[in-house]
Amino acid sequence: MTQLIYGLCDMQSFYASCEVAARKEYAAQRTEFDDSTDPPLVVAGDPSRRNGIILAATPTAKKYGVSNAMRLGEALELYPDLIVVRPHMEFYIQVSIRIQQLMKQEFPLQEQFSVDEGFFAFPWPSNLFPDPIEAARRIQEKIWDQFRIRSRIGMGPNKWIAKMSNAKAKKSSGGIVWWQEEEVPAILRDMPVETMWGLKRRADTLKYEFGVQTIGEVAKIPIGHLRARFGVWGEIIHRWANGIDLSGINPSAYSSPHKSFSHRTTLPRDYYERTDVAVVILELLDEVCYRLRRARQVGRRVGLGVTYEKLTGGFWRAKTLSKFTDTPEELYPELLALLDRYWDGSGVRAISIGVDMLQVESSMQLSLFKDLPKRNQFYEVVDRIHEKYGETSLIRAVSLKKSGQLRDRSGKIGGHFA
Amino acid sequence: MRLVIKKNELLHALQDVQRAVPTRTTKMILYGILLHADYEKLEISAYDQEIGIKTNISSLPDQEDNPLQIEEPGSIVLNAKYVIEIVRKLPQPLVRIDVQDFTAIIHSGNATYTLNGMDPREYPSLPEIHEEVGFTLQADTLKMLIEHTVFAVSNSEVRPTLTGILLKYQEGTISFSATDSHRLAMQTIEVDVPTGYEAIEAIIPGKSLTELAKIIPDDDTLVNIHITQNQLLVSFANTYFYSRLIEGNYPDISRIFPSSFRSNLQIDGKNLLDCIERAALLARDNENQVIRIQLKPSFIEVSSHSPEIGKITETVEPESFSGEAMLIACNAKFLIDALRALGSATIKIDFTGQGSAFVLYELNNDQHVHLILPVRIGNI
Repeated sequence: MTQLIYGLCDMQSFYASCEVAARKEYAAQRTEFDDSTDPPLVVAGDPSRRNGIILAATPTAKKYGVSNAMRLGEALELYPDLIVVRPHMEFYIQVSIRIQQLMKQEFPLQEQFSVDEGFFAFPWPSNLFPDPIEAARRIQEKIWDQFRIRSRIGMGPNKWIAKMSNAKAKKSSGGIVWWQEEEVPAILRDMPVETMWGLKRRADTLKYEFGVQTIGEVAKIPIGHLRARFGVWGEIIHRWANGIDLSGINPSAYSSPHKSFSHRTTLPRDYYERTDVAVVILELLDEVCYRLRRARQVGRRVGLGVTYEKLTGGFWRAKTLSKFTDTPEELYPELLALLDRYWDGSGVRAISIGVDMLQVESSMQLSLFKDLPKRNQFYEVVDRIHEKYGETSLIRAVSLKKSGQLRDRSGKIGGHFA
Repeated sequence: MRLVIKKNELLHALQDVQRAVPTRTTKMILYGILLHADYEKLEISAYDQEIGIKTNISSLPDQEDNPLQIEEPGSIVLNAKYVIEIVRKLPQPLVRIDVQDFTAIIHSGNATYTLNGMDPREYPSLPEIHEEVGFTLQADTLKMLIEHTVFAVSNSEVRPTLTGILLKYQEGTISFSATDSHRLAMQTIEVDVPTGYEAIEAIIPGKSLTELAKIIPDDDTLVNIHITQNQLLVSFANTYFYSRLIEGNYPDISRIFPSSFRSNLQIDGKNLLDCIERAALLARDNENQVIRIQLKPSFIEVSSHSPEIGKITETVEPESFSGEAMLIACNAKFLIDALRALGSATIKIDFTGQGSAFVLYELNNDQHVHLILPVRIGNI
């Protein structure tokens, strides 16, 4: 019977690879199957400050002990001749989009999984892809030819196995691994529990509460025990340990209607004043509402997350409203009410705003006291000005205050300079 | 405090007063009901600092049918939930309550409860209101004023004034108005009694009036209404109802009612309500619960659809129609609320156009009015 083979293709040291590939002097020396042909390059959050964080490092840099999330100063102590570059997020995203498109051309059943990973699936056995390894090699080769970026591909009978075999592929020469369905139980049997992808802290619970060491032992735990300890996760853990994963490929995962919109920002220092926190809340809310309007969606629940100083403690609280909305005028007072109710006055270091319980906007209830059609036109104009002249071309006056983050944030993607 | 009281009198008083006991609060004392006896009467009250209710039961020693015998004055606060459940289930028509310190012993027949109470000195005192000026209404009139308007108050705190009903006394009329900014309900009555007020405007929380409507009798009992700077007091029989007033300015609604119309319609209220309720079944999941009303000279077509569920179309015949044909889309709930308030008589609806308000009222009675703003559909 024809079945689907699922694959996960991930880019090696993606940000660092982009930087290497973009520099002629390094790109020319780089070869596909020899990691040592890379320069010792790292991408660091803020190269001018030694406490910047390493975001990505080439295999050569990693050989000297440099690893992701390490402080730059520490990395330079390990190897003073590191080539340090600042992140170019916009560029990485452009490359990422093109790589995903390339995968999609090769495998129509494709789903982006993160900025540098994509799932794909193809039927097997079939005349289109007679040799799965060859099919994987073809996409790997195309990515290398076009982008000078190395990729690794894991394949198996489902997404979870693809993720697991991808981890194996990262350590294999050639970077392609395929686990066939019948060999999966034997492969998983002796792998340590902590290699089970997606469990996070649950792996420790399995180890210390259930006393298991290998995935094979997890597979033998009666499903009832897992359910009793983990709830719905118990079932998933049981399936995964037995090599089963029921999730399918959704080629339009990134374009289907959103279930929620949210924004978060980390502040440059701790905020203690309500008025300062309120400025940032309003700025984030404006962004969330902009995205709601663009998606033509309206939401009924608004949430506020606050993280306290040293990024420890805080709260996330939401309120369900009586009607759907996409306007800051209606949501801002609700957010301030949540802040007043749950904030204990600790220094605030990060703030996030979310709107969910969404619906596609199909009608507009008119109001006696506000000209809503006019208000919609107003936002339409504001949005167009922002899209044409940039986010900072038209801002609320409060954003000019010292506590405002908008002007600083607008130049960044994912918290790093674009 | 030592007294003997008729179970039913006590139970009714407790049940009325309980409406001022909050369902959730951080102050434990507010979960209680205050009982306070002097030699003439027993006062039972509750006050959540928003709504307060007090009922007096008088001792009438000269009457054969005396509901209350007070042997020793005193007071105590008892947990509302428990004391009501207990009194409801007591076996005999007479109840003896003996209070010592903060413990109440409740006897009835062979049953004896010992209830731990709370210190009455910690219970908040009801607001003080001087009752010199005020006006009087029949209980059923007040109830009608509330029931015809209260459903239209807003439940969003974004504009606090809209969560209340605007009470307005002016030149021999009293009006109650409520709006959530999408629809407005207004009931006016004429009063010919002197009030002591020249003109008055007060915003009374919708929630308070909902509770008040539940405890005022459904007959012509006289109800006295007093309004101060920030408090409302409604008194009737032996009961006193207090409510905080909402501060702030109510939006100007005097110019909201349109003066010219493009179409109008007369129709049996009950028929239209049934029809809208059927159409509303498929509008429930919709953002604005939209139903469409196609007005044509010979008939009206009501329809609604839900992309996942299906659609409905129904026609109703009006008693008369004049003016232009048009399509109106509106929130089914608003229409149902208004039609239920208007009742089954012939009603009149005036339309001003697709994107502006329409007004519903009883035929030949413009004192009870509902105004609804439509929903804009299609290219919004």
